[in-house]
Amino acid sequence: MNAAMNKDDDVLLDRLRSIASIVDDPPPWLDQAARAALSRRRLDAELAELMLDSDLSQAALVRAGDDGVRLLSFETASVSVELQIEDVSGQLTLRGLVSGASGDAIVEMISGSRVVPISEHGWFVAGDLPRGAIRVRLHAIDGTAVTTSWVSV
Amino acid sequence: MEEDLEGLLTAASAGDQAAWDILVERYNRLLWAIARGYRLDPATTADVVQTTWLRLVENLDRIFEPTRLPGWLATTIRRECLQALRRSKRETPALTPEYLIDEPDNSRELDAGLLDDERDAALWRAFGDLPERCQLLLRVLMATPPPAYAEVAEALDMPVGTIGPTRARCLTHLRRLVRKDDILGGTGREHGGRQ
Repeated sequence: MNAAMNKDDDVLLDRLRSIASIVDDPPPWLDQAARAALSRRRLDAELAELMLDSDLSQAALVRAGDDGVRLLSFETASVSVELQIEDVSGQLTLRGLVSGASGDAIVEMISGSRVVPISEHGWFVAGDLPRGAIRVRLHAIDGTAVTTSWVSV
Repeated sequence: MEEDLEGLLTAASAGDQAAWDILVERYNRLLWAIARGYRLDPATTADVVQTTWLRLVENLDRIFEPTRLPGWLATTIRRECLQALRRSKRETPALTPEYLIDEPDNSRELDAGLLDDERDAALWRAFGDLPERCQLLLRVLMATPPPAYAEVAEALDMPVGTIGPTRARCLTHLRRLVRKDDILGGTGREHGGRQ
């Protein structure tokens, strides 16, 4: 490619960029949301990393069924959190199974949060959740605060 | 531009909102462009962009080499996009939430209606007729500010050396689509449009 063609390409791409900035720019509220994300930092909590996501794995091996159930698994050294997310007509139901933690689970979304009790067998349920980013916070039996990493559901 | 990333990340990590805002200002449009390039609708795009920023917040203390931040963001959102695409494929039409069908297939036609310049509108419609791979690459390249090829390579999981040649091929293809309509102005030469 010669320099003139390169220049033409740059001009055309600039024109496309200018069009995209008119017809396909991120909405201002998203910019605000991105700025506000910093306030969601929790320095006090240990991060439970995502260990398994059925959406990223061999579907046949880990999918719970042929319906819209997604399985997510998070772990710290002392706590494990399994989440099943079921999608029915865009309304999400979250079922959790934890080990090494007790008390309440706080299901945190972009806007607001839901506090649900963890049963003696380690289960918790939260229904009617909107789509978007969520994480779950809870306390390990030794009192350590734990939060899962954020996931898009 | 990259040399101050370390300072910005360190400050943001210490809770400095102004430093964080600069990072958002610099990369939010790139993240948006990547997700739109993967053909996610605006609502899902907003979800994955927000998730990516939240993931960065929780990893502020773990960002390895600060100069790798753009690549980290690009890789993170690419994964989120691929997950979102899998989810949307899995949904049957009856289960598709309303906001996912807000944007019909003729969305580019509607987008084009926002443009005063009819030639720009026609160019944008022609862009929608390109092969998906070209739309993806060009949509990312048209982010503001223009991304470095290294960032584009991370976002699309392409070897960096293939980006320039692919860009050239895709733009040539776009020119072929619009040439007959005199969209690019003048005599079939590509410039002459507005600057």
